[in-house]
Amino acid sequence: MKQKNIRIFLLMLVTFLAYWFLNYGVVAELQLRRSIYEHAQTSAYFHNIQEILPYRSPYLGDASNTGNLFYHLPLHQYPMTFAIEPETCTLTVHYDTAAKTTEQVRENLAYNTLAAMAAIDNLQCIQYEFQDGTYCITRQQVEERFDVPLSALLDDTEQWEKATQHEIFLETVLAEWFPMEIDAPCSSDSQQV
Amino acid sequence: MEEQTIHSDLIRGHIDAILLRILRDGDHYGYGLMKQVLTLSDGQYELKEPSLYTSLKRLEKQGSIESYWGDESQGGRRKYYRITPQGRAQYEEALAQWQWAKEIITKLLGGNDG
Amino acid sequence: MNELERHVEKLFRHQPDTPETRELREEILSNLQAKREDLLAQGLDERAATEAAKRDIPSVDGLIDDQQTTNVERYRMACAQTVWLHCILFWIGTLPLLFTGYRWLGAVGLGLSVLSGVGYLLFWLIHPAMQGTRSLAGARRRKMIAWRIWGIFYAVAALSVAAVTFGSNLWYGTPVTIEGPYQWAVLASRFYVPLLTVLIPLTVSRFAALLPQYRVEG
Repeated sequence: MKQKNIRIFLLMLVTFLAYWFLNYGVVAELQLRRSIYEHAQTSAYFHNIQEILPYRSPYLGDASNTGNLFYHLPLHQYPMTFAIEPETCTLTVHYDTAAKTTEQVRENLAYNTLAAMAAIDNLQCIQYEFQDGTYCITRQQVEERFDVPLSALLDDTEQWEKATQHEIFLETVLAEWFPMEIDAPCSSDSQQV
Repeated sequence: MEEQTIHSDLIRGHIDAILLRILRDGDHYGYGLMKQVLTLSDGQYELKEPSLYTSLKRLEKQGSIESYWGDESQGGRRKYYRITPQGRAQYEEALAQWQWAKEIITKLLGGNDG
Repeated sequence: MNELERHVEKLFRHQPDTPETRELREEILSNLQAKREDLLAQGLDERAATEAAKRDIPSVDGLIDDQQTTNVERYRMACAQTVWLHCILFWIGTLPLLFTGYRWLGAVGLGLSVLSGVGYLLFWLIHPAMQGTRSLAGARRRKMIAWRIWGIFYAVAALSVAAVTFGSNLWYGTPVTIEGPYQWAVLASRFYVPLLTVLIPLTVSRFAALLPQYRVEG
Protein backbone atom coordinates (compact mmCIF):
# COMPACT_ATOMS: atom_id res chain seq x y z
CA MET A 1 0.00 0.00 0.00
CA LYS A 2 2.74 2.41 0.99
CA GLN A 3 4.70 1.78 -2.18
CA LYS A 4 1.64 2.32 -4.28
CA ASN A 5 0.99 5.60 -2.50
CA ILE A 6 4.49 6.78 -3.23
CA ARG A 7 4.09 5.87 -6.89
CA ILE A 8 0.77 7.70 -7.14
CA PHE A 9 2.29 10.74 -5.49
CA LEU A 10 5.18 10.74 -7.94
CA LEU A 11 2.72 10.44 -10.79
CA MET A 12 0.89 13.48 -9.46
CA LEU A 13 4.16 15.38 -9.24
CA VAL A 14 5.14 14.50 -12.79
CA THR A 15 1.71 15.46 -14.02
CA PHE A 16 2.00 18.77 -12.23
CA LEU A 17 5.34 19.48 -13.88
CA ALA A 18 3.96 18.57 -17.29
CA TYR A 19 0.92 20.78 -16.67
CA TRP A 20 3.08 23.69 -15.58
CA PHE A 21 5.42 23.35 -18.49
CA LEU A 22 2.67 23.01 -21.05
CA ASN A 23 0.37 25.63 -19.66
CA TYR A 24 2.79 28.37 -18.78
CA GLY A 25 5.56 27.45 -21.14
CA VAL A 26 4.43 26.03 -24.42
CA VAL A 27 0.95 27.46 -24.53
CA ALA A 28 2.12 30.92 -23.53
CA GLU A 29 4.78 30.75 -26.21
CA LEU A 30 2.25 29.74 -28.83
CA GLN A 31 -0.09 32.51 -27.75
CA LEU A 32 2.70 35.02 -27.97
CA ARG A 33 3.58 33.91 -31.46
CA ARG A 34 -0.02 34.07 -32.47
CA SER A 35 -0.50 37.56 -31.17
CA ILE A 36 2.65 38.67 -32.94
CA TYR A 37 1.36 37.19 -36.15
CA GLU A 38 -2.01 38.77 -35.70
CA HIS A 39 -0.46 42.14 -35.05
CA ALA A 40 1.55 41.77 -38.22
CA GLN A 41 -1.59 41.08 -40.17
CA THR A 42 -2.80 44.58 -39.40
CA SER A 43 -0.07 46.04 -41.54
CA ALA A 44 0.13 45.90 -45.29
CA TYR A 45 3.88 45.37 -45.10
CA PHE A 46 3.56 42.11 -43.22
CA HIS A 47 0.23 40.85 -44.35
CA ASN A 48 -0.08 37.20 -45.46
CA ILE A 49 -2.21 37.32 -48.58
CA GLN A 50 -3.07 33.62 -48.25
CA GLU A 51 -5.57 34.62 -45.60
CA ILE A 52 -7.96 36.15 -48.11
CA LEU A 53 -7.72 33.57 -50.88
CA PRO A 54 -10.77 31.65 -49.61
CA TYR A 55 -12.85 34.78 -50.19
CA ARG A 56 -12.27 35.22 -53.87
CA SER A 57 -15.48 35.61 -55.79
CA PRO A 58 -16.54 36.75 -59.24
CA TYR A 59 -19.42 38.79 -57.84
CA LEU A 60 -19.71 41.52 -55.30
CA GLY A 61 -23.21 40.54 -54.19
CA ASP A 62 -22.30 38.17 -51.35
CA ALA A 63 -22.23 40.45 -48.33
CA SER A 64 -20.90 37.93 -45.83
CA ASN A 65 -18.07 36.99 -48.13
CA THR A 66 -17.08 40.62 -48.51
CA GLY A 67 -17.18 41.09 -44.77
CA ASN A 68 -14.95 38.05 -44.26
CA LEU A 69 -12.57 39.36 -46.86
CA PHE A 70 -12.06 42.67 -45.11
CA TYR A 71 -11.81 41.03 -41.70
CA HIS A 72 -8.68 39.34 -42.94
CA LEU A 73 -7.09 42.50 -44.30
CA PRO A 74 -5.20 45.30 -42.54
CA LEU A 75 -7.35 47.84 -40.66
CA HIS A 76 -9.74 45.06 -39.58
CA GLN A 77 -8.98 45.97 -36.01
CA TYR A 78 -11.25 48.97 -36.39
CA PRO A 79 -15.04 48.51 -36.32
CA MET A 80 -16.29 48.22 -39.88
CA THR A 81 -19.62 48.37 -41.60
CA PHE A 82 -20.28 47.69 -45.26
CA ALA A 83 -22.70 48.83 -47.92
CA ILE A 84 -23.01 47.34 -51.38
CA GLU A 85 -24.44 49.21 -54.35
CA PRO A 86 -25.10 46.43 -56.83
CA GLU A 87 -25.88 48.54 -59.90
CA THR A 88 -22.59 50.36 -59.93
CA CYS A 89 -20.71 47.56 -58.15
CA THR A 90 -19.60 49.96 -55.49
CA LEU A 91 -18.53 48.86 -52.07
CA THR A 92 -18.57 51.29 -49.19
CA VAL A 93 -16.46 50.40 -46.18
CA HIS A 94 -17.02 52.52 -43.12
CA TYR A 95 -14.13 52.50 -40.66
CA ASP A 96 -14.99 53.83 -37.22
CA THR A 97 -11.79 55.80 -36.83
CA ALA A 98 -10.17 58.97 -38.10
CA ALA A 99 -7.92 58.60 -41.11
CA LYS A 100 -5.56 61.26 -39.79
CA THR A 101 -4.75 59.26 -36.66
CA THR A 102 -4.45 55.90 -38.35
CA GLU A 103 -0.93 54.67 -38.92
CA GLN A 104 0.05 54.00 -42.49
CA VAL A 105 -3.54 54.51 -43.54
CA ARG A 106 -2.72 55.18 -47.19
CA GLU A 107 -0.48 52.15 -47.60
CA ASN A 108 -3.03 49.93 -45.91
CA LEU A 109 -5.89 51.29 -48.01
CA ALA A 110 -3.87 50.82 -51.18
CA TYR A 111 -3.12 47.27 -50.19
CA ASN A 112 -6.72 46.55 -49.27
CA THR A 113 -7.97 48.08 -52.48
CA LEU A 114 -5.69 45.96 -54.59
CA ALA A 115 -6.53 42.86 -52.63
CA ALA A 116 -10.28 43.44 -52.76
CA MET A 117 -10.35 44.22 -56.46
CA ALA A 118 -8.12 41.28 -57.26
CA ALA A 119 -10.33 39.01 -55.19
CA ILE A 120 -13.71 40.24 -56.39
CA ASP A 121 -13.78 40.44 -60.14
CA ASN A 122 -16.65 42.82 -60.71
CA LEU A 123 -15.86 45.27 -57.95
CA GLN A 124 -15.71 48.65 -59.73
CA CYS A 125 -15.37 51.20 -57.00
CA ILE A 126 -14.58 51.35 -53.31
CA GLN A 127 -15.46 54.16 -50.94
CA TYR A 128 -13.61 54.28 -47.66
CA GLU A 129 -15.55 56.33 -45.14
CA PHE A 130 -13.68 57.58 -42.11
CA GLN A 131 -14.81 59.77 -39.30
CA ASP A 132 -12.98 62.68 -40.88
CA GLY A 133 -13.67 62.15 -44.56
CA THR A 134 -14.09 59.72 -47.42
CA TYR A 135 -11.73 58.30 -50.00
CA CYS A 136 -12.90 56.94 -53.30
CA ILE A 137 -11.03 54.77 -55.74
CA THR A 138 -12.08 53.11 -58.95
CA ARG A 139 -11.00 49.87 -60.57
CA GLN A 140 -9.83 51.77 -63.58
CA GLN A 141 -7.32 53.73 -61.53
CA VAL A 142 -5.88 50.49 -60.18
CA GLU A 143 -5.87 48.55 -63.43
CA GLU A 144 -3.90 51.31 -65.12
CA ARG A 145 -0.93 50.33 -63.05
CA PHE A 146 -0.79 46.73 -64.15
CA ASP A 147 -0.32 44.81 -67.38
CA VAL A 148 -2.21 41.79 -66.18
CA PRO A 149 -5.81 41.43 -64.98
CA LEU A 150 -5.97 42.09 -61.25
CA SER A 151 -7.17 38.62 -60.35
CA ALA A 152 -4.04 37.14 -61.87
CA LEU A 153 -2.02 38.85 -59.16
CA LEU A 154 -3.49 36.46 -56.61
CA ASP A 155 -2.62 33.36 -58.60
CA ASP A 156 1.04 33.74 -57.90
CA THR A 157 2.47 34.98 -54.63
CA GLU A 158 5.55 36.26 -56.41
CA GLN A 159 3.44 38.46 -58.60
CA TRP A 160 1.56 39.71 -55.59
CA GLU A 161 4.68 40.52 -53.68
CA LYS A 162 6.13 42.34 -56.63
CA ALA A 163 2.96 44.33 -57.04
CA THR A 164 2.68 45.32 -53.42
CA GLN A 165 6.30 45.94 -52.71
CA HIS A 166 7.26 47.82 -55.79
CA GLU A 167 4.14 49.27 -57.23
CA ILE A 168 1.50 50.49 -54.92
CA PHE A 169 3.56 51.85 -52.14
CA LEU A 170 5.35 54.35 -54.29
CA GLU A 171 4.65 57.83 -53.03
CA THR A 172 3.39 58.93 -56.42
CA VAL A 173 0.81 56.16 -56.51
CA LEU A 174 -0.34 56.79 -53.00
CA ALA A 175 -0.64 60.51 -53.56
CA GLU A 176 -2.75 59.95 -56.63
CA TRP A 177 -5.06 57.33 -55.15
CA PHE A 178 -5.50 58.77 -51.73
CA PRO A 179 -4.86 62.49 -51.73
CA MET A 180 -5.86 64.75 -48.84
CA GLU A 181 -9.43 63.95 -47.91
CA ILE A 182 -11.88 64.65 -50.63
CA ASP A 183 -15.43 64.00 -49.87
CA ALA A 184 -16.30 62.54 -53.25
CA PRO A 185 -18.62 59.61 -53.16
CA CYS A 186 -18.59 57.54 -56.32
CA SER A 187 -22.34 57.00 -56.34
CA SER A 188 -25.30 58.63 -54.69
CA ASP A 189 -27.30 55.60 -53.59
CA SER A 190 -26.00 52.97 -51.27
CA GLN A 191 -27.74 50.11 -49.53
CA GLN A 192 -26.80 49.50 -45.98
CA VAL A 193 -25.63 45.94 -45.54
CA MET B 1 -35.06 -43.72 -14.87
CA GLU B 2 -38.76 -43.38 -14.21
CA GLU B 3 -39.68 -39.95 -13.00
CA GLN B 4 -42.88 -39.88 -11.05
CA THR B 5 -42.33 -36.86 -8.97
CA ILE B 6 -44.55 -36.21 -6.00
CA HIS B 7 -45.52 -32.62 -5.43
CA SER B 8 -42.14 -31.41 -4.29
CA ASP B 9 -43.49 -28.62 -2.09
CA LEU B 10 -44.65 -31.15 0.43
CA ILE B 11 -41.24 -32.70 0.65
CA ARG B 12 -39.17 -29.55 0.42
CA GLY B 13 -39.53 -28.66 4.09
CA HIS B 14 -37.93 -31.93 5.10
CA ILE B 15 -34.92 -32.10 2.87
CA ASP B 16 -32.56 -31.23 5.70
CA ALA B 17 -33.79 -34.11 7.80
CA ILE B 18 -33.72 -36.47 4.83
CA LEU B 19 -30.10 -35.68 4.13
CA LEU B 20 -29.23 -36.12 7.78
CA ARG B 21 -30.87 -39.54 7.71
CA ILE B 22 -28.77 -40.60 4.74
CA LEU B 23 -25.58 -39.27 6.25
CA ARG B 24 -26.38 -41.03 9.49
CA ASP B 25 -25.69 -44.27 7.74
CA GLY B 26 -22.47 -43.14 6.09
CA ASP B 27 -20.59 -40.29 4.49
CA HIS B 28 -21.60 -39.17 1.01
CA TYR B 29 -20.71 -36.59 -1.60
CA GLY B 30 -23.27 -34.43 -3.40
CA TYR B 31 -24.29 -36.66 -6.25
CA GLY B 32 -24.19 -39.67 -4.02
CA LEU B 33 -26.76 -38.04 -1.76
CA MET B 34 -29.00 -37.34 -4.73
CA LYS B 35 -28.80 -40.94 -5.85
CA GLN B 36 -29.62 -42.18 -2.37
CA VAL B 37 -32.70 -39.98 -2.22
CA LEU B 38 -33.88 -41.43 -5.52
CA THR B 39 -33.21 -44.96 -4.38
CA LEU B 40 -34.85 -44.58 -0.98
CA SER B 41 -37.96 -43.09 -2.54
CA ASP B 42 -38.19 -45.95 -5.04
CA GLY B 43 -37.61 -43.54 -7.87
CA GLN B 44 -40.53 -41.35 -6.91
CA TYR B 45 -38.65 -38.28 -5.72
CA GLU B 46 -35.69 -36.64 -7.41
CA LEU B 47 -33.72 -34.14 -5.41
CA LYS B 48 -32.47 -31.31 -7.59
CA GLU B 49 -29.05 -29.70 -7.32
CA PRO B 50 -30.16 -26.23 -6.19
CA SER B 51 -32.17 -27.69 -3.29
CA LEU B 52 -29.29 -30.01 -2.42
CA TYR B 53 -26.67 -27.30 -2.23
CA THR B 54 -28.89 -24.88 -0.34
CA SER B 55 -29.68 -27.54 2.20
CA LEU B 56 -26.08 -28.72 2.60
CA LYS B 57 -24.94 -25.16 3.09
CA ARG B 58 -27.57 -24.54 5.73
CA LEU B 59 -26.76 -27.77 7.59
CA GLU B 60 -23.05 -27.06 7.52
CA LYS B 61 -23.59 -23.56 8.82
CA GLN B 62 -25.71 -24.92 11.65
CA GLY B 63 -22.97 -27.38 12.49
CA SER B 64 -25.06 -30.47 11.82
CA ILE B 65 -22.72 -31.74 9.13
CA GLU B 66 -19.06 -31.32 8.26
CA SER B 67 -17.39 -31.38 4.89
CA TYR B 68 -14.03 -32.68 3.75
CA TRP B 69 -12.33 -33.09 0.40
CA GLY B 70 -11.49 -36.53 -0.87
CA ASP B 71 -9.20 -37.36 -3.76
CA GLU B 72 -10.66 -39.29 -6.60
CA SER B 73 -8.94 -41.83 -8.78
CA GLN B 74 -9.57 -39.87 -11.97
CA GLY B 75 -7.99 -36.75 -10.50
CA GLY B 76 -9.93 -33.83 -9.20
CA ARG B 77 -11.60 -34.03 -5.86
CA ARG B 78 -15.01 -34.50 -4.35
CA LYS B 79 -16.50 -32.78 -1.36
CA TYR B 80 -17.78 -35.34 1.14
CA TYR B 81 -20.11 -34.71 4.04
CA ARG B 82 -20.36 -36.44 7.39
CA ILE B 83 -22.90 -36.04 10.12
CA THR B 84 -21.99 -34.59 13.48
CA PRO B 85 -23.41 -35.48 16.88
CA GLN B 86 -25.50 -32.31 16.67
CA GLY B 87 -26.73 -33.51 13.32
CA ARG B 88 -27.78 -36.80 14.75
CA ALA B 89 -29.70 -35.03 17.47
CA GLN B 90 -31.32 -32.76 14.92
CA TYR B 91 -32.38 -35.76 12.90
CA GLU B 92 -33.98 -37.48 15.88
CA GLU B 93 -35.86 -34.29 16.70
CA ALA B 94 -37.07 -33.86 13.12
CA LEU B 95 -38.18 -37.47 12.92
CA ALA B 96 -40.13 -37.18 16.15
CA GLN B 97 -41.81 -34.00 14.96
CA TRP B 98 -42.72 -35.62 11.67
CA GLN B 99 -44.26 -38.64 13.40
CA TRP B 100 -46.36 -36.38 15.54
CA ALA B 101 -47.46 -34.21 12.64
CA LYS B 102 -48.25 -37.25 10.49
CA GLU B 103 -50.49 -38.61 13.22
CA ILE B 104 -52.39 -35.36 13.80
CA ILE B 105 -52.86 -34.52 10.12
CA THR B 106 -53.98 -38.02 9.28
CA LYS B 107 -56.62 -37.71 12.00
CA LEU B 108 -57.69 -34.25 10.83
CA LEU B 109 -57.82 -35.13 7.14
CA GLY B 110 -59.63 -38.37 7.89
CA GLY B 111 -57.10 -40.55 6.15
CA ASN B 112 -57.90 -43.52 8.30
CA ASP B 113 -61.46 -43.78 7.15
CA GLY B 114 -62.31 -46.49 4.69
CA MET C 1 -15.98 -33.20 -19.73
CA ASN C 2 -14.96 -29.91 -21.21
CA GLU C 3 -18.50 -28.92 -21.91
CA LEU C 4 -19.41 -29.31 -18.27
CA GLU C 5 -16.40 -27.22 -17.30
CA ARG C 6 -17.55 -24.53 -19.67
CA HIS C 7 -21.04 -24.67 -18.25
CA VAL C 8 -19.77 -24.18 -14.72
CA GLU C 9 -17.53 -21.40 -15.99
CA LYS C 10 -20.59 -19.66 -17.35
CA LEU C 11 -22.49 -20.13 -14.11
CA PHE C 12 -19.78 -18.38 -12.15
CA ARG C 13 -18.87 -15.74 -14.66
CA HIS C 14 -20.31 -12.80 -12.77
CA GLN C 15 -19.45 -14.10 -9.34
CA PRO C 16 -16.52 -12.73 -7.38
CA ASP C 17 -13.47 -14.92 -6.99
CA THR C 18 -13.43 -15.90 -3.33
CA PRO C 19 -12.31 -19.13 -1.66
CA GLU C 20 -15.96 -19.93 -1.08
CA THR C 21 -16.99 -19.59 -4.71
CA ARG C 22 -13.95 -21.54 -5.84
CA GLU C 23 -14.88 -24.46 -3.59
CA LEU C 24 -18.46 -24.39 -4.76
CA ARG C 25 -17.32 -24.45 -8.37
CA GLU C 26 -15.25 -27.53 -7.75
CA GLU C 27 -18.04 -29.21 -5.90
CA ILE C 28 -20.66 -28.47 -8.53
CA LEU C 29 -18.36 -29.62 -11.32
CA SER C 30 -17.49 -32.88 -9.63
CA ASN C 31 -21.14 -33.63 -8.95
CA LEU C 32 -22.12 -32.85 -12.53
CA GLN C 33 -19.37 -35.13 -13.77
CA ALA C 34 -20.51 -37.90 -11.46
CA LYS C 35 -24.07 -37.50 -12.74
CA ARG C 36 -22.92 -37.63 -16.30
CA GLU C 37 -20.89 -40.77 -15.71
CA ASP C 38 -23.90 -42.33 -14.08
CA LEU C 39 -26.20 -41.50 -16.98
CA LEU C 40 -23.68 -42.87 -19.46
CA ALA C 41 -23.50 -46.09 -17.48
CA GLN C 42 -27.28 -46.31 -17.70
CA GLY C 43 -27.12 -46.28 -21.48
CA LEU C 44 -27.69 -42.62 -22.45
CA ASP C 45 -25.48 -41.29 -25.22
CA GLU C 46 -22.87 -38.62 -24.47
CA ARG C 47 -24.94 -35.74 -25.78
CA ALA C 48 -28.04 -36.58 -23.75
CA ALA C 49 -26.06 -37.28 -20.61
CA THR C 50 -24.24 -33.96 -20.77
CA GLU C 51 -27.40 -32.03 -21.50
CA ALA C 52 -29.24 -33.67 -18.65
CA ALA C 53 -26.44 -32.84 -16.26
CA LYS C 54 -26.34 -29.22 -17.40
CA ARG C 55 -30.08 -28.81 -17.24
CA ASP C 56 -30.27 -29.57 -13.57
CA ILE C 57 -28.30 -26.57 -12.51
CA PRO C 58 -29.14 -23.57 -14.71
CA SER C 59 -27.80 -20.91 -12.37
CA VAL C 60 -26.13 -20.35 -9.04
CA ASP C 61 -28.47 -17.62 -7.85
CA GLY C 62 -29.20 -18.00 -4.20
CA LEU C 63 -26.38 -20.44 -3.64
CA ILE C 64 -23.73 -17.87 -3.03
CA ASP C 65 -23.67 -15.96 0.16
CA ASP C 66 -23.58 -12.44 -1.00
CA GLN C 67 -22.92 -10.69 2.24
CA GLN C 68 -19.24 -10.32 2.90
CA THR C 69 -17.77 -9.48 6.24
CA THR C 70 -15.54 -6.64 5.27
CA ASN C 71 -12.76 -4.65 6.82
CA VAL C 72 -14.66 -1.48 6.02
CA GLU C 73 -11.96 0.91 7.15
CA ARG C 74 -9.31 -0.50 4.88
CA TYR C 75 -11.77 -0.96 2.05
CA ARG C 76 -12.74 2.69 2.23
CA MET C 77 -9.11 3.69 2.23
CA ALA C 78 -8.50 1.61 -0.86
CA CYS C 79 -11.49 3.32 -2.48
CA ALA C 80 -10.17 6.76 -1.51
CA GLN C 81 -6.81 5.86 -2.98
CA THR C 82 -8.53 4.81 -6.20
CA VAL C 83 -10.39 8.12 -6.40
CA TRP C 84 -7.11 9.97 -5.93
CA LEU C 85 -5.40 7.97 -8.66
CA HIS C 86 -8.29 8.38 -11.08
CA CYS C 87 -8.38 12.13 -10.51
CA ILE C 88 -4.72 12.23 -11.48
CA LEU C 89 -5.45 10.13 -14.56
CA PHE C 90 -8.22 12.55 -15.46
CA TRP C 91 -5.77 15.41 -15.04
CA ILE C 92 -3.31 13.70 -17.37
CA GLY C 93 -6.15 13.27 -19.85
CA THR C 94 -6.77 17.01 -19.84
CA LEU C 95 -3.17 17.90 -20.72
CA PRO C 96 -3.62 17.57 -24.49
CA LEU C 97 -6.55 19.96 -24.19
CA LEU C 98 -4.32 22.78 -22.96
CA PHE C 99 -3.84 23.77 -26.57
CA THR C 100 -7.56 24.02 -27.24
CA GLY C 101 -10.44 26.06 -25.92
CA TYR C 102 -10.78 23.52 -23.06
CA ARG C 103 -7.74 24.75 -21.20
CA TRP C 104 -9.76 25.30 -18.05
CA LEU C 105 -10.21 21.53 -17.70
CA GLY C 106 -6.52 21.34 -16.87
CA ALA C 107 -7.17 23.56 -13.88
CA VAL C 108 -10.13 21.35 -12.91
CA GLY C 109 -7.83 18.34 -13.10
CA LEU C 110 -5.32 20.05 -10.85
CA GLY C 111 -8.00 20.95 -8.33
CA LEU C 112 -9.53 17.48 -8.25
CA SER C 113 -6.17 15.76 -7.88
CA VAL C 114 -5.13 17.95 -4.99
CA LEU C 115 -8.51 17.70 -3.24
CA SER C 116 -8.73 13.94 -3.56
CA GLY C 117 -5.12 13.60 -2.42
CA VAL C 118 -5.84 15.68 0.64
CA GLY C 119 -9.00 13.70 1.28
CA TYR C 120 -7.05 10.47 1.09
CA LEU C 121 -4.45 11.88 3.46
CA LEU C 122 -7.13 12.85 5.96
CA PHE C 123 -8.52 9.34 5.74
CA TRP C 124 -5.04 8.00 6.43
CA LEU C 125 -4.76 10.10 9.54
CA ILE C 126 -8.26 9.63 10.88
CA HIS C 127 -9.20 6.02 10.34
CA PRO C 128 -11.51 4.31 12.77
CA ALA C 129 -11.06 0.57 12.72
CA MET C 130 -14.31 -0.75 11.45
CA GLN C 131 -15.80 -3.98 10.26
CA GLY C 132 -19.11 -4.55 8.67
CA THR C 133 -20.94 -6.47 6.03
CA ARG C 134 -21.04 -5.34 2.48
CA SER C 135 -23.05 -6.84 -0.30
CA LEU C 136 -20.95 -8.06 -3.21
CA ALA C 137 -23.95 -8.20 -5.51
CA GLY C 138 -24.80 -4.64 -4.54
CA ALA C 139 -21.36 -3.45 -5.56
CA ARG C 140 -21.63 -5.34 -8.86
CA ARG C 141 -25.04 -3.88 -9.49
CA ARG C 142 -23.77 -0.34 -8.93
CA LYS C 143 -20.96 -1.03 -11.34
CA MET C 144 -23.35 -2.16 -14.07
CA ILE C 145 -25.67 0.78 -13.48
CA ALA C 146 -22.72 3.19 -13.68
CA TRP C 147 -21.60 1.73 -17.01
CA ARG C 148 -25.10 1.79 -18.44
CA ILE C 149 -25.68 5.40 -17.44
CA TRP C 150 -22.31 6.40 -18.83
CA GLY C 151 -22.96 4.58 -22.08
CA ILE C 152 -26.18 6.49 -22.58
CA PHE C 153 -24.54 9.75 -21.56
CA TYR C 154 -21.68 9.40 -24.01
CA ALA C 155 -23.94 8.31 -26.84
CA VAL C 156 -26.06 11.43 -26.28
CA ALA C 157 -22.99 13.66 -25.98
CA ALA C 158 -21.37 12.27 -29.13
CA LEU C 159 -24.61 12.58 -31.09
CA SER C 160 -25.04 16.18 -29.95
CA VAL C 161 -21.53 17.05 -31.03
CA ALA C 162 -22.11 15.35 -34.37
CA ALA C 163 -25.43 17.15 -34.82
CA VAL C 164 -23.96 20.55 -34.01
CA THR C 165 -20.91 20.00 -36.18
CA PHE C 166 -22.40 18.21 -39.15
CA GLY C 167 -26.06 19.05 -38.77
CA SER C 168 -26.20 21.84 -41.31
CA ASN C 169 -24.24 19.73 -43.77
CA LEU C 170 -26.70 16.90 -43.42
CA TRP C 171 -29.71 19.20 -43.64
CA TYR C 172 -28.62 21.09 -46.70
CA GLY C 173 -26.84 18.19 -48.33
CA THR C 174 -23.54 20.00 -48.52
CA PRO C 175 -20.38 17.94 -48.28
CA VAL C 176 -18.42 17.91 -45.06
CA THR C 177 -15.10 19.68 -45.40
CA ILE C 178 -12.47 19.63 -42.75
CA GLU C 179 -9.70 21.93 -43.77
CA GLY C 180 -6.42 21.15 -42.18
CA PRO C 181 -5.08 19.69 -38.97
CA TYR C 182 -6.38 22.50 -36.78
CA GLN C 183 -9.98 21.70 -37.61
CA TRP C 184 -9.36 18.01 -37.09
CA ALA C 185 -7.98 18.80 -33.65
CA VAL C 186 -11.01 20.93 -32.74
CA LEU C 187 -13.39 18.20 -33.91
CA ALA C 188 -11.49 15.48 -32.06
CA SER C 189 -11.40 17.51 -28.87
CA ARG C 190 -15.19 17.88 -28.91
CA PHE C 191 -15.56 14.11 -28.87
CA TYR C 192 -12.69 13.62 -26.48
CA VAL C 193 -13.87 15.89 -23.67
CA PRO C 194 -17.04 13.95 -22.76
CA LEU C 195 -14.99 10.76 -23.16
CA LEU C 196 -12.91 11.80 -20.15
CA THR C 197 -15.89 11.13 -17.92
CA VAL C 198 -15.31 7.41 -18.48
CA LEU C 199 -13.23 7.59 -15.35
CA ILE C 200 -16.45 7.71 -13.33
CA PRO C 201 -17.73 4.23 -14.25
CA LEU C 202 -14.14 3.00 -14.11
CA THR C 203 -13.94 4.16 -10.51
CA VAL C 204 -17.22 2.49 -9.56
CA SER C 205 -16.00 -0.69 -11.27
CA ARG C 206 -12.83 -0.58 -9.26
CA PHE C 207 -14.83 -0.23 -6.04
CA ALA C 208 -16.63 -3.45 -6.89
CA ALA C 209 -13.41 -5.24 -7.78
CA LEU C 210 -11.72 -4.14 -4.56
CA LEU C 211 -14.45 -5.36 -2.23
CA PRO C 212 -13.59 -9.09 -2.23
CA GLN C 213 -10.00 -8.20 -1.36
CA TYR C 214 -11.05 -6.85 2.00
CA ARG C 215 -13.08 -9.73 3.29
CA VAL C 216 -12.52 -10.79 6.85
CA GLU C 217 -12.04 -14.51 7.32
CA GLY C 218 -13.98 -16.48 9.83
